Amino acid sequence: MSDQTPTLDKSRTQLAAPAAHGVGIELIELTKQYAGQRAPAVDKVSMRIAPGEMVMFLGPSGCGKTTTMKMINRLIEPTSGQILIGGDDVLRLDPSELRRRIGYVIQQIGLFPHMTIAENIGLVPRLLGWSKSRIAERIGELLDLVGLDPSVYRDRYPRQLSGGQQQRVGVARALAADPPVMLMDEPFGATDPITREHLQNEFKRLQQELRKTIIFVTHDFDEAVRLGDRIAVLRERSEIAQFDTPEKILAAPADDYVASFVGSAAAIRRMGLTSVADALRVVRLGPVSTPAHGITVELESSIRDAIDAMLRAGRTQVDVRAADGTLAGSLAFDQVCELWARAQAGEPDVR
Amino acid sequence: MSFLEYVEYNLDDLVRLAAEHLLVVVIALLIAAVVGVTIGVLTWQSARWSEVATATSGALLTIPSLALLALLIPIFGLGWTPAVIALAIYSLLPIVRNTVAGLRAVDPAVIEAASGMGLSRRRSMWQVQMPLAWPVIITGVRVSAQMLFAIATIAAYVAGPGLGNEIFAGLSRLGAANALNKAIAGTLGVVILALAFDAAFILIRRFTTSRGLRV
Ligand SMILES: Nc1ncnc2c1ncn2[C@@H]1O[C@H](COP(=O)(O)OP(=O)(O)OP(=O)(O)O)[C@@H](O)[C@H]1O
Ligand SMILES: [Mg+2]
Repeated sequence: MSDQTPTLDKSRTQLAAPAAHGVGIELIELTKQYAGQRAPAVDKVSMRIAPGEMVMFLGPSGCGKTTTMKMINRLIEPTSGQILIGGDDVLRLDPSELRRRIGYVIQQIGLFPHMTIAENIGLVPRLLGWSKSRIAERIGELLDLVGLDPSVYRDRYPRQLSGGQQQRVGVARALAADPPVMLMDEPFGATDPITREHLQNEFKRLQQELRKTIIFVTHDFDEAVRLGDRIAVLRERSEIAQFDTPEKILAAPADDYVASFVGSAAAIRRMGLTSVADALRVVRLGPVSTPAHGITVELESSIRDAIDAMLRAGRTQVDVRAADGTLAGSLAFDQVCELWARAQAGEPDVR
Repeated sequence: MSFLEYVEYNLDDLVRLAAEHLLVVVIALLIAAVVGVTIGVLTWQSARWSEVATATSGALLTIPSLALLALLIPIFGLGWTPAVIALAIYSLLPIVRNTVAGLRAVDPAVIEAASGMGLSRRRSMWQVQMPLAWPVIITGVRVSAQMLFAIATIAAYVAGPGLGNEIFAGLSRLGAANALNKAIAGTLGVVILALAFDAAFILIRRFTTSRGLRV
């Protein structure tokens, strides 16, 4: 499976490593036919998701993303097919107990307005019979995790929070009982682009620590690329058009439909996923520029940033600064082209 | 005897009658609240059944009070029982209607979140939907209470409790000494009780509604 091959992006490699927390999910010929509708909303979808993997469902409105996701926690009963979580047949479990072990973030957030933030987050742990002190501790921990000061927000009510803050609480609430699986339906939908990007970055950092198995529904290709280990591009009836890493989808869209999601500047976007440090596995840095021209990027910067720096300075190479501040060498535009060519050729090391 | 002298002279009796009046209303309200909210909870999801429930409790409200009492006497005899039952029947409509309206007004996203988190239907109702619908439900109870203080006067016709006894005793002997005083004292008593109870309701509503819904 693609998540086991080495990748250029270091953070992705960590994510794809065997997870301590997540469990695998398998959908087998999953189908939903709503009563009174001619065609099924979801038609024989099969997919395997590795433990600790974050999979993005990407597709147009009405293609069945929500329906597919809600069958996994049985908010919608499948018409036929099977769902296995960690090998267990979900359809044989008690729905309420199942749901307590699956974190669920709905698009409209759905915080309970009559409960404080602490009560919202503590609800599932309370149902699971945790002790008061353990719940209180967990609430503080989770608020810290999503970047809200517990001493300020704990006793507030949802209506006293901004939309973005509410979405963070929604995520914290879903994480409360430390579920191995998370289902997230456009969790950052209701925020402006800047807050959204901020939440995405925070969530990505969070996931690198937590390594849950996550299904994340989105309309937004950039969000899918930024967060996903793999992206499932869906068409009508949840049919899988392509299910692969962001790098592969950017480099080689399976068909015109997938290409239409990728849109323009695919090469540049893909270079945004690879850091200079990762590129060093494929290309060798040249000597530091002489005379020094002062145009530098960090080792951790993306290749996209490196290209940007070259363009802005009107030069074909840029110096690379190591973590200790010294110049490690220079990256030339030719080398970027070579990197791209080898990735296109599908060399396993250059995904 | 002036009105004030009359009141002063008969204060003990008047207070006892007012206390009875209050008690019969409160008992009837409690019964109607339990029954009405239960009916609302059972029917709110079905357009047809909630319509049946409100239409039926509305129809009950149109039965003339004396006729209803006359119907109840053969079954329950005289006194408190038929009075309480008649009053409970009359207060059903606002409670049922507001329970249905309150539960329907709960954001479906909140209900979905509750079941998605693993709350059973019953738990979701008690821990989430009911508290959110509560301000609307309690307003229905308040409207019923306002009606009941006036209607409760007719309890006197079935030898029941309350200020109705004072009013009808006066009205039936108009022209006799103190008859008018009696009727006025009883009527004023009902009005004062109703206003005081309404004020209390504002406090009850405040104390039983989550602060999160008021911010
Ligand atoms: N309860 C329902 N009853 C009947 N049809 C439904 C129901 N829910 C969804 N559908 C239909 O099933 C299809 C898939 O819906 P779904 O909500 O899964 O789409 P989606 O991909 O999540 O869309 P969006 O991006 O707009 O949220 C749609 O055509 C929709 O009209
Ligand atoms: Mg949807």
